[in-house]
Amino acid sequence: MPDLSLGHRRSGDGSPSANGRSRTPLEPTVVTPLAAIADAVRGSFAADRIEMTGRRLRLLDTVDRRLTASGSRLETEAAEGGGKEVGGKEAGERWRLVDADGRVRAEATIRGRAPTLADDLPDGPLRQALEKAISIRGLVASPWIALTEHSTALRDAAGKTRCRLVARTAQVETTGEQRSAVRVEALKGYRREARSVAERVTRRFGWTPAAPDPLTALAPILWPEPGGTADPAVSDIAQPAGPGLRLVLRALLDAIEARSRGVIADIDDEELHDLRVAIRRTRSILALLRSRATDSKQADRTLERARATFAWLGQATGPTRDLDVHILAWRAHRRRTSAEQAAILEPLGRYLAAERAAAHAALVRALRSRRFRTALARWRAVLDAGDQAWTGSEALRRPIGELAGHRIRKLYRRAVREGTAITPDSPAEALHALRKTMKKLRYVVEIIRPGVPADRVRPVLRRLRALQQVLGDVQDMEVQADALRRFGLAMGETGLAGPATLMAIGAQAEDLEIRRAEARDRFAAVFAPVAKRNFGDKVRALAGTRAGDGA
Amino acid sequence: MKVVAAYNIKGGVGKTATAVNLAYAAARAGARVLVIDLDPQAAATFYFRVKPKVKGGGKGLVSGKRDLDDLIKATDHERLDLIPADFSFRNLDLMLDAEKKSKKRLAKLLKPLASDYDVIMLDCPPSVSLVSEAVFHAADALVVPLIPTTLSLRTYQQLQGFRDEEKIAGLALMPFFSMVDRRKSLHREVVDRFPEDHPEALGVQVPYASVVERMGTERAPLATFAPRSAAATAYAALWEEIAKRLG
Repeated sequence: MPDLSLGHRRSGDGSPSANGRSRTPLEPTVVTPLAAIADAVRGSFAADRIEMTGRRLRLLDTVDRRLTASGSRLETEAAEGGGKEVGGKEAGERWRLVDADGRVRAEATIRGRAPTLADDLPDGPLRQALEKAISIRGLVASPWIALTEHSTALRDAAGKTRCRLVARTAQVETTGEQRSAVRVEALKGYRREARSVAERVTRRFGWTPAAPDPLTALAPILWPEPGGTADPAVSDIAQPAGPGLRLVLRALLDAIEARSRGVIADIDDEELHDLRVAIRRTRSILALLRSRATDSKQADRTLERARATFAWLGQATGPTRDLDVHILAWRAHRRRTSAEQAAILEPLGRYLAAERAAAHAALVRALRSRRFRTALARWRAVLDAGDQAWTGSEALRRPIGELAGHRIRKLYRRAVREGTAITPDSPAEALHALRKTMKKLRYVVEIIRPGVPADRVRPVLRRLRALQQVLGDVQDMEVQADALRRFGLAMGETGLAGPATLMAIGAQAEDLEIRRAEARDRFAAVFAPVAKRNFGDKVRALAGTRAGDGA
Repeated sequence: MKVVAAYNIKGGVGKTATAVNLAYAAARAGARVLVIDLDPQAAATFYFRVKPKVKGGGKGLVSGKRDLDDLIKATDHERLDLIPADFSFRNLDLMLDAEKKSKKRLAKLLKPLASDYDVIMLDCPPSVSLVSEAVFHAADALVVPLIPTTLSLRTYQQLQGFRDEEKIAGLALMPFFSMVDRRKSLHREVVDRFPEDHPEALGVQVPYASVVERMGTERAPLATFAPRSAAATAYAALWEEIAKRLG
């Protein structure tokens, strides 16, 4: 057997740079054959002959690396049979969800096209574990990885294995990036022995054999940090709004650009959701910066143009997102219903998928358009212009807290006015208008959140979110029910659905109506505490404004 | 989790070889297996090269004060762990007797292991005792190795009677013939006739083979050092049949 020429990488080596590539040479710091390591640390134990195994696999994770963040990894490799026909069926892939300590938490054989959503996995422990870990996020497969493992058992005088030394090297086949690690594998009931051997490794070689598994260490390279922050905020609410919020807007622009790339690649529906959140937050800040005293027409014109850009983007992203929500609702409904009923609803799923594909194509055209590129480049130039350029109006020079306080008071007053006017007979539009006001209010609060003591901001946000949840449910259910009827009509006219499917669509719309009515009934109880004076005082106190002022 | 006990009132019929080789076959088939060596002679423990010592002795095992997980030792085989025997297990009867609901004690102790193991294999001492009764209450199936002799069949009848007397619902008896030498006419006769009166009998027979004795020198399950031997193949087939019955 050839000597194993790999060793342990010191911590900090090979850390990924911004573009995800390793800054340091790939060679491990210590290049020691495993046999030599074993010989040096075995003490009174005897070391077996080194065994070598190799396999090819890929890793799966979400764009925002949820599995890596939760300390686990999802491996996939050809199921036994290597893709050949087994028992008349395609062998498929074996998926394994592995803990940080190498323990397989759940596994399943996947036949046919590999799913991207946990929802599409066959029923079982793997699906349950993934639903919890990645929710509705899509899975993206890494390139193929060659994993080589060298191992030896350290045995006592009776020949019983007391621990194992394992060296693993994982190499990305397309780029050659590799990570190696040596670990001492403890066996149940013999942990003390493994500890002693690990201590000897450290004493003899100067490194700790507890590095992350090479497959886990590859994750930052395979799934680079998502660009931009989803919810940037200001930490000092006393600083002038222009320079302070410029940085927040720039972080949001980073997120918009990164999420746009994700939307174009269409790897995960949530990329679009995150894009829309970044757009809405941008618009919320732009509204905050709207100057009352127009002492600088130039600054206002620039911001006005940006407002128009992001309003357009908000609209352009709407239809695809609406269809994503419809598809999510269809999936959720399919889960709740019987297998027979789910089969009847399949044509609706196909119809929604086709509609969504068309909407997404239109959205991709918009995101690749010159209008989009020019507008974003122009907006970046404005944001990069420096703090001086962001003090051109009265609003830009005012402290963020003061500006936010004014806006919070105004929005809260409006929300109370709109909410109080809502009666059981009010039209849906009234609740929708309140929802929009509440959303604006929440975004402003979230922007100044880090600058406000947590015990003041948390209770306010909790109540605002609870109200928004009810308002969201009322509107979403109504929109979905209307859309379902529309889809049903279109499918009926074009012959895409038979009577059974149309009846099932009708039943689903009825179900949504019932749930909408339930949410509508909850509104008064959730709104009442928001309208109370003491809650108003808490809201106003967030940005340091006087209690009892305003509303 | 299924609890399987290798049991016979009679000694020297191949109980330990059965427990060890079936456990290994189950682990090879992908199950997470724990062998519990209840026999103070500690033969299964010896086969797995583990020291016959348990923290707190038999009392530590049955009192429930010590976490059973602390007593588990990994063997050299993947997915196969062991709670070793201890010489103090010779008094396991007395220790069980000192506990409340002694007959159901073992079943209660094993319950928390359900999330960690798919199969628990009990290697039982011969004889009928309180330990055996506790095993009967804990097990889903008794795998009973029988040598094809009249005396051996008599002990199986005793076992059946005992099971019926105890009225243990859900305990399946799975007798099978071990150490079968088809050159002997008595063996042939017994083996061929037994299933007529005992439909519960397993179809696989383990032949008499000197290679089984080598387990003592190799200190490992048969399939690791003689994987192609007739006995090793028979144990693998036997597990397959048992697993099917257990469902």
